Amino acid sequence: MINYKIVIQDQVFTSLIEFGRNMYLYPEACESLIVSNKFLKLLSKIDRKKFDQLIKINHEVRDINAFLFHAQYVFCPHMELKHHGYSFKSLKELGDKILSYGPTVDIYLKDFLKFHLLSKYMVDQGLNEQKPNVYQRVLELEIMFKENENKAYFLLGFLLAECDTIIYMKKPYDDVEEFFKDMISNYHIINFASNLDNNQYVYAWLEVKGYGQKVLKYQSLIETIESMEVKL
Amino acid sequence: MRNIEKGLLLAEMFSANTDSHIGPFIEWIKLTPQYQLFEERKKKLQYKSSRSARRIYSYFKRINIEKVSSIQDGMIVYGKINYLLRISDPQCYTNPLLIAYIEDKNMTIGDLKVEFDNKLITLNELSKLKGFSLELKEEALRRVLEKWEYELHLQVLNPVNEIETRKQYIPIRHIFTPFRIFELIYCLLFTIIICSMYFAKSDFLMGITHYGNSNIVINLTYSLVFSFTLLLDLVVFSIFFIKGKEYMFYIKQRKIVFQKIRPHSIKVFMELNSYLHSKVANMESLDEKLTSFNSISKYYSTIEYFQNRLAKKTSIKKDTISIVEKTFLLLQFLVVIVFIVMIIMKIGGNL
Repeated sequence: MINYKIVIQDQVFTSLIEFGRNMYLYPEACESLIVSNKFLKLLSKIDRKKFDQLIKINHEVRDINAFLFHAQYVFCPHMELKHHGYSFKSLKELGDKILSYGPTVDIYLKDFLKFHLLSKYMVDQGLNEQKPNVYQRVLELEIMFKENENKAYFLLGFLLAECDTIIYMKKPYDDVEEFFKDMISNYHIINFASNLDNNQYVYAWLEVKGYGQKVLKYQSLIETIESMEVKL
Repeated sequence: MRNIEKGLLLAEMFSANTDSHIGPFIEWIKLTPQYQLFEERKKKLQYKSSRSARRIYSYFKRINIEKVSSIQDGMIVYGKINYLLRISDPQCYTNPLLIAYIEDKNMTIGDLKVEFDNKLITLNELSKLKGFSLELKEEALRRVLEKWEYELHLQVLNPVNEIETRKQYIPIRHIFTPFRIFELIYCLLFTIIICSMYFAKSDFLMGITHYGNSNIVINLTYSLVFSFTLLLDLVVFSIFFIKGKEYMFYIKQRKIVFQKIRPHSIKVFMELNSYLHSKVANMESLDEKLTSFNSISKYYSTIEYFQNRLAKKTSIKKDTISIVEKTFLLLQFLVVIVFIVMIIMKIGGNL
């Protein structure tokens, strides 16, 4: 039995499980620690299997944030969804968080689709069997992410939050007409219009509301006009 | 396209009232360089006579930005303005067979645009384009040549046919009618005789033509004959000059419309046809000036001349002697008679 302690920013962890459970709180510090020779040497002595798993992940995953996500579950396989400062007790909490930031996109929450972290988590935790429809939709959104990342991101928010209410600038809207009435006011219009295409939040919401065809018609009209535009 | 209108359009599609934003949107469109170019081209197209240009101008006229009543309307109008700018480039509608006036003197046949592979490209680009078969390129040439030929028919050959069907209003005329020749000889002869009398060394004739040598009455009669002859000359030659010019022009134009336009048009069209095909087949630049094939345009004035005449239903009349000429001829003739009587009386010693 080897006694050890892992110290990160004055926090002392005496077990790998405890360390894994808290890694999400110290992403930058953990990033340099777990790839250090000292740590790897210690890990190989403490738990050869976890060491091999970590090396394997290190070879397979290129992005450091994705690597940290997977690494934490090597040390603590059964815990809630955690990533880069966020901890979610349920998938709904993740959905609510995504929507609460709207129309701003959180780059770390995006990682769940970008690096397929959520689908992997669902499989590891058996959620793919408990919620097969949600899992299937997550897989579809991962594919959509390659084409339109922000729309896929917000659709994930609506899917997991299990709601069709948009939260825009911290105000919830259920009714489409009421939403647009507010958005074209002089107070909102500039911000709303300039973010419309970039973050795709409103488009995702309208799709959830069942107006996907109308949005497509709108987008094709804009596309046609812009394709005709003469640059002078 | 600004983001603000994109946002407004989306809102409008979901029943939001965008009325207060329509005015500023129209003002923004009016200030865009696209709209200003649109207005500029509209003015220029107004005076173009080619069928393509007229057709494009009719599209321009349909755009009325003041009637925009929604953001979607405004967007569509803005899109149409941009589309019209694309197709109203002189390179798109210029027909090298018919062009009469060229702004850009350096423009060549190769600068004209044709539709190929769903894009508008210049003939030079088409000629040098790689990766496409010659058949496809020739198909594009065939289409553009057909269009130009159609316009040639519409603008030149059909009006000529139309004029031909009313040939009876455009009769054959000659500059010199027999009476006009007689009149001219008469005037010329009389002028010579009268002038010769004045300069003759004969005492008898000097008595008639010079004052103080004989009876003043006969001197006055000679002066009258002299004056009336000169006046008659002036009238006859002026009318002859005016009518002759008109007749010469008519005869020349008649010959052009009935004999020259059709064969010349076909010849120029064939020349253009073979020029385009040979250059494209050899993937060469089409550097001929745009004016190289526009000699048909010189016939516009001829066609217009006859169309105007036929519209007014005024065929050119046979050259006849006018009342003014007749009056002067009669007066001069009477004076001459009086003068001859005087001379007879003088010879008889009665004067």
